[in-house]
Amino acid sequence: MKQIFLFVSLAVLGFGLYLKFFYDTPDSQIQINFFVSWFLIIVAIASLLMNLFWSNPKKRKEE
Amino acid sequence: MNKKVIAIFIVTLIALGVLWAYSFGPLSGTVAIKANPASLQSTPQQTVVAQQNIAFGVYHNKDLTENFYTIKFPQTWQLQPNSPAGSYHFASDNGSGSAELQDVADNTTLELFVLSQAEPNLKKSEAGYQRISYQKISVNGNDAYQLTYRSTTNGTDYETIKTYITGTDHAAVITFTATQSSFANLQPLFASILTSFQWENK
Repeated sequence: MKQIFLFVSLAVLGFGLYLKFFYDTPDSQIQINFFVSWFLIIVAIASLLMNLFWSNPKKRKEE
Repeated sequence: MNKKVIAIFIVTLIALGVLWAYSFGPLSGTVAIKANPASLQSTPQQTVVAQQNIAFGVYHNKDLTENFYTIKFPQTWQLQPNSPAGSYHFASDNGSGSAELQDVADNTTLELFVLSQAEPNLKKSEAGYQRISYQKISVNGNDAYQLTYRSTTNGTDYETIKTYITGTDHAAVITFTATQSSFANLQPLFASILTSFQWENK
């Protein structure tokens, strides 16, 4: 489950970076591209960090 | 729940709030491309056009990173304030002239853009639109497509020559408009301005 979550987060991060740096945005859509690309990057980084810090309940019991 | 995860969640919500403010909220003006003040400075240059010595101002436009360009306009023409980034709009007694940058999508060609989008838009926006000519030309080694048309504004007939020049990311659009009676006299001047156009980072 954790691996799937990690994979989806990385895919979202990759898509956000693609929109930010490689997608040829029409002049009329610069604002929406700015919002969507940064939204995906922020959400992906947050989910990666949450994934990293989310403590395993079994581990917690052992501690 | 893990305290670090809660902290990350709260920071994310704050970041998304700031992002919304920058994109659509009170700080949204900061996202738009702004004109570089240096682009509005011109250096004088004398050029002979149709046996007349004319004073030009040479402009170096540095608004869009991939599309720096140089163009000259007569000093007697008045530069209109508040032109969008990458463009100049001039007015003179007999007509007007402008240089603009046009975004052309990667999945089309400039010629297709001119014929399938630009011209149909002109037909809608210009009263009495009538195409006079359309031709492929070269402007300082760059492929260009030139559209000449007639239109009517407030009962006066105008003739316009619009040249779309291929560029790295954006295309350049050089437009000259004059009353039909003075168009022929101004054509050498228009040609001189057009040939002064050059991409700087090519």
